Amino acid sequence: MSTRVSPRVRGYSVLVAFLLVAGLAGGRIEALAVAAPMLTLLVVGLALARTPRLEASASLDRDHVLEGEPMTLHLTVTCEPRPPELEVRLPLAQGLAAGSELPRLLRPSASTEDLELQIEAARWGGHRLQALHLTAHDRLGLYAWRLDAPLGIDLRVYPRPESVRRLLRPLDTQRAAGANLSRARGEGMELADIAAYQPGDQVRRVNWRASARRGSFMVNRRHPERSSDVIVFLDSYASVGTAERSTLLTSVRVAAALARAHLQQRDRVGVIGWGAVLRWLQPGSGTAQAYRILDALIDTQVQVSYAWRGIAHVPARTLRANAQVIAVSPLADERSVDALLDLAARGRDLAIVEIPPAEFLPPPAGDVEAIARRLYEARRGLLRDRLAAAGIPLATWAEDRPVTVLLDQLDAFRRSVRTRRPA
Amino acid sequence: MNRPAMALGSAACVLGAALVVGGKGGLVGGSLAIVVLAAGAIFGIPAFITTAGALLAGTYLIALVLQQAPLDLSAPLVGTLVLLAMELGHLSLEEGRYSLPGGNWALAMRASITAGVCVVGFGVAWLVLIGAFWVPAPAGTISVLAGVAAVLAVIGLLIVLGRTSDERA
Repeated sequence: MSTRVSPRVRGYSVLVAFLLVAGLAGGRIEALAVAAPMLTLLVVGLALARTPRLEASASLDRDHVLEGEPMTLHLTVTCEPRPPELEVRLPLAQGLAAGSELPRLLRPSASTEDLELQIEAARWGGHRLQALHLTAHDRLGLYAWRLDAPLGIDLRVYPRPESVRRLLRPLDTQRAAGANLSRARGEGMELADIAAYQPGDQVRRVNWRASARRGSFMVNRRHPERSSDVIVFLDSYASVGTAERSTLLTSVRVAAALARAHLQQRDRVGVIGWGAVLRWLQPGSGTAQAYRILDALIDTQVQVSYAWRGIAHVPARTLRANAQVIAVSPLADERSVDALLDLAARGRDLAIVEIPPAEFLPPPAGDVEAIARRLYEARRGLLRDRLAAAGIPLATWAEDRPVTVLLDQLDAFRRSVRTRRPA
Repeated sequence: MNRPAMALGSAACVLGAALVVGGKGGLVGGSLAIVVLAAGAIFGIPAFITTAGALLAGTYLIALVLQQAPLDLSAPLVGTLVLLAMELGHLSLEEGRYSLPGGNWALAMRASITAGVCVVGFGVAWLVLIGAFWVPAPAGTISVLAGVAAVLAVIGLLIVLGRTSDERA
């Protein structure tokens, strides 16, 4: 705890001393009369000042929430003896906003006060409530006692879920049952074709109408429903925008929406964090994997790095040959573009959701900036053409465009070009 | 909203004290004090507020000494106005704290306590004058030494109180 003496104490003390000395030197008792009110204030103030015992504790009603969800912080503030004024300040981390009023100037009715503060998580991420600042004041404002009580409360804010109605169909599936229509033939719901009866075919598969027309037994063949491995490739080499709205914030939201949707249809989902720090999470399924993925995503940060890293650095167990890779990237760093082109060249089932940096830039100010912006857009167009020429489906995110629409765009691209299958 | 009110109150007190001091011949010092206080309030410099008070009190004493005036009964008023001007000036600078939610009652409480202290201080100042008027003090070295000792004791007391308060942390 620290004590702050008001500059008034020293100023008045000096003035009183000056008046007393001057009065003594000049032989004027009026100097003492002029100094008397200040002297009274100092004596009363100093005599009434009592160093208080300050303590604070806090707890949150939840330690993980979704973006935009409110939570309640319970604060217990102790100040003994009870001060006339108690100032309570809680600095909130970026991304958190106070729903109720703080800082506050309290007039404690008891030595211990219980406060409740509504906090809203404005953006996803790991946040920490570092400390609570308490400042007790004496009656005349001559002294202030301040305590920076460490709280150390960690809060995880997950991206708000976005409903994704239809997902991108993978080129290849796994053996486990799922919701993706496999290209193979087997037990399933979707009719694939009709073929001549072979010994061993089940009788219930016989297509009696086709058999009657052909004069020989024909059986229905079906596509089985299988799960697939999906790798969400999150590019964090660069981010454009502000702390409240940036390509990285949006990329994580899109990546979280994709991961959730694929997990809901029983796919195995993994994550590759492609940035200065290479992070990966092996594909898995289930609720636990959903939380693992969200935790991995919200820990993503942009860090400066000049290291050039290739896709070969990613473990093969994470980036399986038949996995569908959905990259979410602003395509603002050449290393990310190279890695994606490398993946496409290796025949991976790759699709890119582009988070265009231009959406997060302020409008151009002046003609020069407008020309520069047009040049930048022209270069982006060339980059998109380069990726399309490599056979990579690419959809461009926009504020008013749901993820489902982006996936439809990717699907449409796939139908329009011949995609290379993995070897 | 409170800050301009406090600053205006402070300026009114300084003006009142300056009028009294100006009446004794300290017009320049009084005017200068008003300017310094205004600068302190506008630019948010607490030291200027105290300096304005010191200017007023100093000018008042110098005027009394130069005029060789008899016992001046306006001294308690000057002292109280100077204190009130400085307190209101400082309050106007601390207004940020009182603009917090729940700050209005705190400001009212502080203002009322300050007013109470000023009233008590005014009474103490009058007691000093009454004492000086009614209690004849013998002239000579002994009384001067007693005065010096009293002044030193008060200064020492202030220093000790200030230091003790610092060490309470």
